[in-house]
Amino acid sequence: MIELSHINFRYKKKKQLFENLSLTLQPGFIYGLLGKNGAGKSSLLKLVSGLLYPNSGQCTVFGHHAAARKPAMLQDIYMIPEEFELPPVSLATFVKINSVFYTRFSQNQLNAYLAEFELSDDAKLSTLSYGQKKKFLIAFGLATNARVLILDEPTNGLDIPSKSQFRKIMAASLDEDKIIIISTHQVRDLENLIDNIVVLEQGNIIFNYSIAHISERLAFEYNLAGVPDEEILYTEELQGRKAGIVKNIAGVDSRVDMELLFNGIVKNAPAINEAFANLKYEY
Amino acid sequence: MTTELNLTRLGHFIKRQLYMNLSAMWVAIAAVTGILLVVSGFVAYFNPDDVRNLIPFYLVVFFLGGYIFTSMIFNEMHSPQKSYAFLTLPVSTAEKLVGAWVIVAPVYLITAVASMFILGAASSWVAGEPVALPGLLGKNAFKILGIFLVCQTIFFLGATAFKGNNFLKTLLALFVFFTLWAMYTGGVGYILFGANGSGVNHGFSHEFKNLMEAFVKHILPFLFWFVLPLYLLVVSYFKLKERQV
Repeated sequence: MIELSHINFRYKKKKQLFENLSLTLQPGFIYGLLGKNGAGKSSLLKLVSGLLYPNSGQCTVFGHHAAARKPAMLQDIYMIPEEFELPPVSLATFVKINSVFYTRFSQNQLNAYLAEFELSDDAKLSTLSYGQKKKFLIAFGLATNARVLILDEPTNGLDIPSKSQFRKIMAASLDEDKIIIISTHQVRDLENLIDNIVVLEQGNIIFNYSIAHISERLAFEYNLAGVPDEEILYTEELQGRKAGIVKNIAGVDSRVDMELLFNGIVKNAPAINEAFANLKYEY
Repeated sequence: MTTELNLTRLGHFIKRQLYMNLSAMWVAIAAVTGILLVVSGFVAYFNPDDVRNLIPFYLVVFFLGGYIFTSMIFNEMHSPQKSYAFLTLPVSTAEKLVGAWVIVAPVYLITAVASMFILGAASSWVAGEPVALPGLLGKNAFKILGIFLVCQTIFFLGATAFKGNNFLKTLLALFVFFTLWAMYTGGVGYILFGANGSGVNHGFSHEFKNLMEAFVKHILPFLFWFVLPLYLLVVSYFKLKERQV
């Protein structure tokens, strides 16, 4: 379990980013961390992985203090940042020199992921494209079997077939011990993948619910003609029609439109959250 | 062996660091060896009597190269696109410190001394004067290596403390430090002895002389050989521990 408790954090000479932020992430789920630019998504991921230290409050990962960066904790975390640089060595060499630090690393799993991503292990990392490098890091990260996998904008730079391979691999790799956190702007890439949505806005968590709850409480309509106003939570223009989020009065589970939901939360979080009023808020 | 210092993990870390920087190191080694080889060749061929004088030249290159190499040992941690990998690597801070030190100190020393032997032997052979090697094995050799190791801890601290251009920034920091130190000691000296140094010839001079002798003979060497490097390594440890992206 990842537990952030009363976190206060600010970058030097900048205004407060997180103020009294608390969040609990449970194993067995894929969390989608959404938010606009500068909302604090990457900073939150860095706090979890011990790359940043909170000014006050506590961040623990499976009972370890993240900021202590003890090997026991670090071998349970693998982070794939949005921007990275890999050393000029072959895939096989990279694996040989880095896998030894992860006690649960599986070469068989890595081979399977590399085959899925159509990567050869004799290729030199410096000759790969950005998308291929990212696929390699994702494959390596999954093969470490770290219990926490953090991906910052993982689908950036991936072509369309790779995005679908990514979704397939991620869905298959989740087990009840793992926590996968995916931060992204490209919300459509996460459809049918994530279990929980956490939305950050100016350092605050303004939304944190599971997809199951969302589809139970909200419905996504692409033509709001005839829908009573009191049921509408959010509207936007969509190709000459009004699309939006409405209360799921019928209670029948509906498909969650991530983009519509994200827009609705960012524009009017209180109205969306109201639909979950009698649910226990999850942070 | 503790969770903070696991020798197996330390070995893996040293191996990783060597592999990750292998291509850059080969380029540097090839460039330096090439230059030294050319210079040694010229000296040995055109001026065989001066072959012995190559040793101090090798030492200057060895010192300078070592300090530049030391300053670059944590480059991965300072690069915004690589630091995440270094800082989230499941290796403790103590292992990162010891591992990096092993690479820049013993590993570098052995490589550099071996290279100097080979170059010295080669140039002596070309000059037809196979007696240049003892210059490397003189009585001051260990003292020189010791001085190198002590001064290296300054650059080691610079490698952990500064983000980018670590060698130049460490040199600048040293310059500023010694300038301030000279101003301070000069000021103290002026207050104690006046403009003519007249205080030396009066009253307290004998006791003061004994005190200064003890300080220079016993305390200062102890501070230099043991306290200074250990202190700098401890500060480097905390710099690494506190490091964020």
